[in-house]
Amino acid sequence: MPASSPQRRFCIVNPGGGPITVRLLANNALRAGADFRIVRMKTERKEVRETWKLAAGDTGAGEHEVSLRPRSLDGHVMAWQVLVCSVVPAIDRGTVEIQVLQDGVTCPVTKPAQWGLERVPRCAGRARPISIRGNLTFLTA
Amino acid sequence: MRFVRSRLALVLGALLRGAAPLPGQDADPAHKFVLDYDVPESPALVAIGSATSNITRGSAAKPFVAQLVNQFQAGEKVANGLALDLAPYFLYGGRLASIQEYRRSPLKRILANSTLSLATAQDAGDSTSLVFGVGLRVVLFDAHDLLQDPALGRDIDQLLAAAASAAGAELLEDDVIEPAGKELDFGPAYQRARARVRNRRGGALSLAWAMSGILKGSIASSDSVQNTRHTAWLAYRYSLGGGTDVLAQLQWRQTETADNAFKGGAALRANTDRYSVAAELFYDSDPDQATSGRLGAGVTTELRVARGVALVGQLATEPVIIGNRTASRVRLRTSVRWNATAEP
Repeated sequence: MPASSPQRRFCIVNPGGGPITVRLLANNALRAGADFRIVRMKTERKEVRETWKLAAGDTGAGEHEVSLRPRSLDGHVMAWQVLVCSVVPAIDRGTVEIQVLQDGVTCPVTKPAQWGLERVPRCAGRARPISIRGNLTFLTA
Repeated sequence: MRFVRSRLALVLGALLRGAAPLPGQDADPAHKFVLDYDVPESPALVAIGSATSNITRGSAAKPFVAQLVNQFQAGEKVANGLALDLAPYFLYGGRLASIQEYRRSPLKRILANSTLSLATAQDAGDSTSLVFGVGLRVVLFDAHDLLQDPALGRDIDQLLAAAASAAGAELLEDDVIEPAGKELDFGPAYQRARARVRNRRGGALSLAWAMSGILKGSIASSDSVQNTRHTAWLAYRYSLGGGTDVLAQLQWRQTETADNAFKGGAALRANTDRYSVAAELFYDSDPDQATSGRLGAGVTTELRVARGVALVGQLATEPVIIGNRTASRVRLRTSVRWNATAEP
């Protein structure tokens, strides 16, 4: 797995643009299922504004349209946990990625949410999938 | 003999090195498969006449299978053999964009389900020589291929998504990639998939080619390879549901006199999670140039004794030339088969 930098991840969205779509991608036929949440961070507490489950599925790409309006997302944090395993014989590596799109275009992020995985365990028997936990902060342009 | 073994070890070593990870990649082998009961016969063993079935099955390839075979017949020395089968596509870096690509692309499915096979056995007629076989098997389709089962993928996705929790991840300063905190039990998803497969009707068709020969004096050189013969066959399996399969095979092969010989037959096989039993009938147009014994019958039992390990036994008739007449004798073949990538 690549060494990750401690730099935080920001995603710049157009407050006047269309709804935000979150896309979960997994290649090489890996299975990926995820939990997402959008949280408004306040000084004294945090408020969970939206949660959803998403899977990359057979096509290797799953999408969710965020119901919160883009203009309300400034400063909000989108957090996730993605669980990944391999159902295909002989495959134990691949890439998982989270993309944020607006109006069909991938939002610029300051640090790609993409992970090259190796030693991905088999989705069989009792197994611990690989867990990817991370977040990004929305900024409005 | 030692020389041949060392050569064989070199060849196998080279094959397996191809399966080894590239520098910087992980060293853990990852060739894994799902249905252990449907392990196909080794083409190389078919070529050298040591397979434990006369009617082979058409089912999908397993990434790596090793077999030790013994042949017993009254009045003959016990003959031992070894076979290794591997599916090279993924081992040598083949990739899939997604499961959907596997389902939609016949080429990818064929590549993923192609097997290379090597086998050796003692030569019954000359104890200093080795019989060898090399083969290639291609699965054209298999209705019981679990990767074609969308419900299994959905079940796994649901399990993964339900177990995932983003709680607290908003506070992380950096991404955290690690094994999940708790084990997930995928067993029930596979049990349901197996039940679906067992009860689903459908066929599987494979095409195989293999070459056999004799290494005279057990010395591996171009001069010492003799009596090479080719064999090609189509194997078909139709599952009736409820764990019962009908198998059929049509085979062409070169005889020792370079003539053509044909063999065809059918079998009925019953499968459970623990064992399989198959009864077969076959016709061979030239069973080792014997003048009779062209019709044969056999029974094959496969008992799965541990994860990936099966004991296989076959009793089948085989013509034997005694002086100037042909007699039909029963031959027992046994094998220990290890499917290295059987489902946990």
